[in-house]
Amino acid sequence: MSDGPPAVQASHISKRFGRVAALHDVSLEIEAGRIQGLLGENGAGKSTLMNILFGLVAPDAGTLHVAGELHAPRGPADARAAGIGMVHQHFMLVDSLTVAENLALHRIQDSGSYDRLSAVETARELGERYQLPIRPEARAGDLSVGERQWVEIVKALDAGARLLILDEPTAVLTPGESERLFLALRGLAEGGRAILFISHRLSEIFELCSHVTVLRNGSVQDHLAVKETDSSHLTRLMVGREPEPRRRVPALQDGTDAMAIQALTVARDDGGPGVEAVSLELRSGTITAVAGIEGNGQEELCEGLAGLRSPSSGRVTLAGLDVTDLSPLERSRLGLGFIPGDRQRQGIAGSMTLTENLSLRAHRRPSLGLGPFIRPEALQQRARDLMERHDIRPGDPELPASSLSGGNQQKLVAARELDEQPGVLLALNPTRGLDVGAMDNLHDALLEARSQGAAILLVSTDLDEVLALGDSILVLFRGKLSAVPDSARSRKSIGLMMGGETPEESRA
Amino acid sequence: MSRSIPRVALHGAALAAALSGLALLLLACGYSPPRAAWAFFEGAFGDVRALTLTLLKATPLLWTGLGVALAFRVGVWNIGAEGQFYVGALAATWVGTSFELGFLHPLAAMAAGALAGLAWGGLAAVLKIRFGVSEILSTIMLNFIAIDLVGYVVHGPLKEVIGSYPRSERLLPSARLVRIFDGNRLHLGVLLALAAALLLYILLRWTRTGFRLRAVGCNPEAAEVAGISPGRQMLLGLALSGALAGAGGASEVQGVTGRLYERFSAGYGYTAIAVALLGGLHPGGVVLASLFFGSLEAGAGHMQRFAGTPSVMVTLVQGLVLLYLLATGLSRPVDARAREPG
Repeated sequence: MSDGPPAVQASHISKRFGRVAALHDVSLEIEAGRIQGLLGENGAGKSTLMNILFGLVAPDAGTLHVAGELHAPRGPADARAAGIGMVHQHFMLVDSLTVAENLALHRIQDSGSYDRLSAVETARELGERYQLPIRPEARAGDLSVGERQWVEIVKALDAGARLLILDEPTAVLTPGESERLFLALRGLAEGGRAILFISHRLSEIFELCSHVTVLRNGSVQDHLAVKETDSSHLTRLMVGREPEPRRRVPALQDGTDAMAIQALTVARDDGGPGVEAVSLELRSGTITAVAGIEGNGQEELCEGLAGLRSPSSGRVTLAGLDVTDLSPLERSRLGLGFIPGDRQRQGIAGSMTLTENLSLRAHRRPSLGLGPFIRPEALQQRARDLMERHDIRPGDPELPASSLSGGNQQKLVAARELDEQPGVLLALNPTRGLDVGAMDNLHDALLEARSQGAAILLVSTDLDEVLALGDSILVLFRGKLSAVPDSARSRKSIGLMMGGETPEESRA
Repeated sequence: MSRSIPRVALHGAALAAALSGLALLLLACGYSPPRAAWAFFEGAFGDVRALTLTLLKATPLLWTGLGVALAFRVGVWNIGAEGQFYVGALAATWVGTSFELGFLHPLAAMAAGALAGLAWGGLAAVLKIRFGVSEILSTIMLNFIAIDLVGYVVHGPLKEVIGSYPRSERLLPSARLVRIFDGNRLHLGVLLALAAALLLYILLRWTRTGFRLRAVGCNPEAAEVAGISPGRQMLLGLALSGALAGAGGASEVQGVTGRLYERFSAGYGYTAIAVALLGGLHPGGVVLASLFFGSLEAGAGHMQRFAGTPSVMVTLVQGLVLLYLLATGLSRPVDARAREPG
């Protein structure tokens, strides 16, 4: 397609962080007019490579060329000037300003003046030029996640981006919004821009990209034309082994009611409705899975049930007792476990040791102490056992928890909760950010708990996970729960429900 | 635990840097650093009298430093050790001058001081937990109230009957803390403070309660998810912190001054913050840090008399130590979440 030099060329890039080689001799060419996929597990080096391209991290070795010219960015400003634009996972818009004002911000820096009417006009022109449906006069804070992404993309293009880097852009989108994004990206590529699309979802690579580069452990495994490969080959490159297809095991028993939720309403932090009048029954020995796009009340639901937020109305019963007003501790004594959504913030105490983290609940057990005293060696022995059973590495129980990888931190949280043998286990996005191996481990742990009779509420934004594990599936949309009929148990119809359509419509 | 070695080294480096800073300053002002150092050393450690003075100066700093360290370990910023020290001294003075309690008298006055400090700290905790008032603000405000409260009582209700100074009556002899050695001013409060350090160490390291206090200090949200109530631990931590500082006030009245007067504390509750941070918020470290600061106080006077060096120079050292600790980030052990990746 292009005769000149590639839009961006990275040659023999290496980068170490301490003793860890984040990237080793990585080369990559991105042609203008092409959508290049970058595939890899978490920790494979995708983010590091991206940060090097964008000037946030300097490589230890190797060179970058942009349109044939040597490119050594000292910061994002240099990268932007060279025509590299990045759409971050976390958007960088000023919520209180309108879309037009957000787009005008960097131009104000240049010219020092601002004219509202011309800003709106410019924004409208930009939207039309790039065929992205932005609303210039809407406040950025009022936009949906998908709309915010349009604005980010327009902002990057307006800054003169010839290469657009998108970091897991679909993680926060509904399937419908993803479609729309893909359409826009194809249009941009046809217009001659180069696009680097970072993902760990194979289906998206196949749908969107013409070429793909697979990273594993900081090294390029292969550069491939998407047409000439298939998903099992790509998975093997990405993971390093053949993935085992997970078979759905039917729930062992139609259990008793372990937890009943009646018309529960929990407010968000800002006072708005988080979940509204949600009713649900969790049965022992089954996994109830709740799908939904992030921010539709998942956190409020789980934290309301765990006792971390007090509901404004409704009732929760656990093992037949009304627990609506009980503390987290009292609930856990009645057999409630919780794997929280943000493990850094809510799951672990990073500066405490693994032993201490594993003891956050168990330190109360009479067998692990003597009266008011703890027995550190008993706690440590128990930690060793748990770490071995749950394969938490590295295996030194006196290391601080912050030294663990994300996957191992999550295993630690799961081990701590499962060791209490909860009758009801809440899990909010338990595999977010985990690689395939760690994800499998956690799924095994959940299934194991189920087979031991736990009632599990799995709230996840990962539709594949919901489909793979849920004995029954519900969708959470704008704080309301709706059940997915068995007949509608497909990616497509659940995807539509996640965007707010009713199951009847989606079945039709 | 493995990381504690470089940390100790860093604390040493902060001290060394502060002392060399002082040496340079002395040199620049035309004094002889070696002479000043020798005079300082003599004044702080040179003989029994000097050592006694160092220990006496260290004791109120140890009590308040332990209190501050405990609060910081629970993630509560208790800036109110000064006020808690004052109300402790006030309560001990009241019990020590108003009742005749025989052999229980020293203990009763001490307990009154600790209880007053506990209430003073607990008040800030309740304001924080119930109404979301920042404990940094409330404890500072409560300092002013405590200082002026003492000012009021020594002008009013507890003012000595004969004499015109704004100060209380002498404590009854039965309420004084006994001297450890004959002919030496070291009093029982010094030993009690060391015992408090040991107890605090045991509490934090070996008890279920201490485990919960530390967990909340490391990450209150994760602790809450795991069934540990941050509010309850913060209340306990701040109240015990206040009790330690309050006991310090009692110890000072009962062991050293024998009566309460206006501006009773030489800023012990504030210096305590530097003591706690220099001590790494560890009870053993606080013992060492309080001895260091105590020796500064003790040596300063001697240095002024025999090397002609202004004694305010040691205040400078205190400031420099605190600055270096802040600069190296050593003051943030409870802010550990900022160090976590991701």
